[in-house]
Amino acid sequence: MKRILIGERGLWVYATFVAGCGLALTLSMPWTSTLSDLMSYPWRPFPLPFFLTYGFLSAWVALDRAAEAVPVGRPRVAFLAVAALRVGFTQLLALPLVAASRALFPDDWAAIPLAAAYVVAASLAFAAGAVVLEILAVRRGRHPAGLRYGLFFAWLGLPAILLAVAGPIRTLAQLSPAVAVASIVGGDVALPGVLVAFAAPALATVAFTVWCLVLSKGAST
Amino acid sequence: MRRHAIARQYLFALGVSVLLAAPCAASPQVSLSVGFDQQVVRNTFTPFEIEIAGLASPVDGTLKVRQSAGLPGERRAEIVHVIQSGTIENGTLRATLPLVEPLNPVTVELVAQDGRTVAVAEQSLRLGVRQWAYPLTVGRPTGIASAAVVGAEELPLDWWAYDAVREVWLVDPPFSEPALQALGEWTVSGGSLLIVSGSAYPRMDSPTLRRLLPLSAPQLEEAEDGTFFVGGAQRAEAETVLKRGVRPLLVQMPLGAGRVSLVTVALADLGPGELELIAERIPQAQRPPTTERVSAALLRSTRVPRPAYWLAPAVTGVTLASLVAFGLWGTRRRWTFGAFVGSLVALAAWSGFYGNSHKRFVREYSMITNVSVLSSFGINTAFSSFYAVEPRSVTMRHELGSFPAGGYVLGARGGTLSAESEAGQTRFALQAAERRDLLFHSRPAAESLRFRFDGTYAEIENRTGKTLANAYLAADDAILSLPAIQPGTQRLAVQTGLMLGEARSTYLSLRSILRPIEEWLPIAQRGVWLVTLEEWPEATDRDAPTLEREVWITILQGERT
Repeated sequence: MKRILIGERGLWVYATFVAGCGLALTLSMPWTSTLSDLMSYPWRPFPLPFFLTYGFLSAWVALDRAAEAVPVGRPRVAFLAVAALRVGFTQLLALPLVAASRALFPDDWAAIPLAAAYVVAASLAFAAGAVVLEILAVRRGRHPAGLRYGLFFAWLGLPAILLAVAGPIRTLAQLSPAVAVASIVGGDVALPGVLVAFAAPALATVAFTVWCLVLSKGAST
Repeated sequence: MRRHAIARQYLFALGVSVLLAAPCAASPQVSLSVGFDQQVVRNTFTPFEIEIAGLASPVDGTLKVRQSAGLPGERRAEIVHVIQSGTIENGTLRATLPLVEPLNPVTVELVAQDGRTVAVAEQSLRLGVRQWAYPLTVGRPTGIASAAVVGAEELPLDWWAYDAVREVWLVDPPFSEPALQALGEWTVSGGSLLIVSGSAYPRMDSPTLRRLLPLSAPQLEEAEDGTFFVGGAQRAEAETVLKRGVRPLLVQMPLGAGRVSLVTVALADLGPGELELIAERIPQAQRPPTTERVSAALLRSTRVPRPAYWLAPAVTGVTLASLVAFGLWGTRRRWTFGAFVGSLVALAAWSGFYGNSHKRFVREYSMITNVSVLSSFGINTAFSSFYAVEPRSVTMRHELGSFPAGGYVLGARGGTLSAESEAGQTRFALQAAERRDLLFHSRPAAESLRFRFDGTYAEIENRTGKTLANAYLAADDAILSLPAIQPGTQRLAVQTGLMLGEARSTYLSLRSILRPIEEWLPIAQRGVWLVTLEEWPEATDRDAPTLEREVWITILQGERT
């Protein structure tokens, strides 16, 4: 079980994930104990940094652990299952911290499960993408890390450019995981935006899974 | 015939004039009189008198006084006081309102329920603006320089209406009992009241006036030259300040934080130069103590509800420990994965519950410091400080018949700073990270504490229904800490105490409270006083996330036996 969930050198990756999320949560927690502190340094609950850190580190762990799950010469369909298990393991580690973030939502808490569900969906998409890239790179004998993280940052950043555009096309900015998490946590996203946000990782996961199956079939024949 | 025709023409013209003038005569009108003798001082409580006339029938509506803060030509903020709501009839209404900026015109308007303006009047106060407090003569002019003169019937019934007055000269009776009561309360709050008696005394004598006099058994006496003096035994704290021959001419007595002066002869019987001598010896009134410093200090020390510091690091640490344990021993023991998952789920459940119970985010903090001074007359003064974490509309509830003042000074920051007061509540808007202070004066409720002190024992009658945990007795320049005062009557031994100087630096609560109060009312030198300090539990409202603290300071003058 440990070998499947953690893999080679995985303990440090997961520990970094937990420590990073924990640090973000610690810094997001209110520190003022008296009103004089609050008057000098006005503060209000601001859960976004924690959720952005949590989303970013989840995606990073998903990319790293999914890629690591693809050894040479094994049946490739199982890689996806291992990658999905590792995404689940990552979210299990984040669960206590996400639950503790309830303290940062004085009013509506519906954003917590929604944001966490989105992070899971995006992590699965990144994991599936990492598996496909790893298979392709192994086939061509190249190291895929640069391409993997390049595409990751492109997906993260490019749709966000649409925030500068007015009109309905602006909704497509939700394709960026960073924008989607910010919108969900901020509670300023309508249903179409939520659907667009969730559709992107869902479609990407399906596409990468099918691609992986095709690659797997090609390899077996 | 010709004369009849002329008479008919005159009658026709008269009839037409009457018909045309009739609607004008019946048109509703409101008029406004502000201050004593139209004299006003900026940022003081000021008497307002509104006269409504010409209403054919009572109107369902609202009578409002509109003022604006900010100097002309600069940014303004509107301050509205609702004087009366409901059925409004012809007559005179009186109210004591905070006067914000007398350089701006004041408007009074009668608005019907359907929003129609029935009558409106605007008044400029510019000609009566004064920079400093001024003397007030009641009755007829005394010759005191720059004094405002009003009739006895014009005296307001709220003690805080005398906020802009330096001293009150009571010259020409009769004075109503409620007006004398208000003057007595104002004197306790720091006012300076001068009663010119002599031959006018029989017309002013009343139970309330006797409580004000520095003489315990006043009586009219005739001097050898035929002048009538008011004589009698002086009270313990009274002192003769001026004499004419062997007879006291000016007797003074402290009353609360203020002073009462008695001129024992009538105004007409004062000799050359005596009026000036008296005027020189009349102390100036001082305004009631502002507990701003106490209120601000208590507000700043108010705790901010939040989760404990250790929550996030603890959850992170336990999660890391579980991960490391699973990483190190996960392959050796089969049950380790189950234990690992179980521990994380349990930790998540606990941190979720903890976060849920500590998630409350207070958006509005308020601190109310109430000071009651109970001597022969009693006063209440409250200072409220509000602080908003984010933009909020605040409603301050208060007693009927009084309106809060303050917080109308326009800052450099944006925002409206407007306020609307009506009977029982005042609404205003706060920006994020903004503090607003409001001052509110009123009368105390029925006296529920009495005490006497014989130097060793204090006999205290506590009818408040509560145990008074923080009580101090001030006498002879010392402050003595009392044990908790239970409801009922009890005799408490008071043997150990601190000199006031020590107390000021020893007890934090006493230090912060005694200092501003002592600057105003030197309790150690004016008889025996009981000081009680009660802090009400924090009142919080989950639906409207506010946190309210309230402190009551009662300063009660006792009897030395």
